[in-house]
Amino acid sequence: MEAQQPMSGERVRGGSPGVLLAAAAWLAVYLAARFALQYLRAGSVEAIFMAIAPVWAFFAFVWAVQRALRRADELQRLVQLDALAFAFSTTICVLMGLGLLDIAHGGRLEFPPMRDWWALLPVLYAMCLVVARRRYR
Amino acid sequence: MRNDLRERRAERGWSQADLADRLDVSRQTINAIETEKYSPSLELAFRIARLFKVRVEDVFQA
Repeated sequence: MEAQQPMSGERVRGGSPGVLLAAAAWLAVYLAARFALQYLRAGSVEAIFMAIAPVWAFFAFVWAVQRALRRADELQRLVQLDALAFAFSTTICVLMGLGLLDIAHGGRLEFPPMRDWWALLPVLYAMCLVVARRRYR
Repeated sequence: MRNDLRERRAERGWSQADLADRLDVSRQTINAIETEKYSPSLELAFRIARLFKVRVEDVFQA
């Protein structure tokens, strides 16, 4: 197999730094909100404001992803689809399994709090993205 | 799908990045097509054939 060409001067599509930056900003705002919510009075305006803050950061992330996808070529879109399809289906499978196990144990099965399970999807997506990119390398 | 994209590119002395720029795709896509890990869409296959001034079936063989 021929050695890969140098990266200099090439047009890089998808996987843009903007997406990574937006993802990092979203994560930072989320962690800050989780931290702050431990100290804010439940039901207060400040607590509600902090709870909503990550949603706006997430919208910014979605906008960055949409922008990158519009500039991506067909292979990069296929890689994204591969990663999303696997992450989405695996997340549903895990959540369904946990739900059924909970029923099987009469609702007494102790999980990490349900409010944290959403994180499974982005983590799986990131992992699947790495695998999908390797597949076509 | 088999193809002789690498040979055709080499004949012209183009790098993968050169060809990617001419086709408006990423270098990774060119590499994946050349290593036959990815079969391009019909639209991209026609663009490739047009660039090399040949028929699609001259570049790609099933």
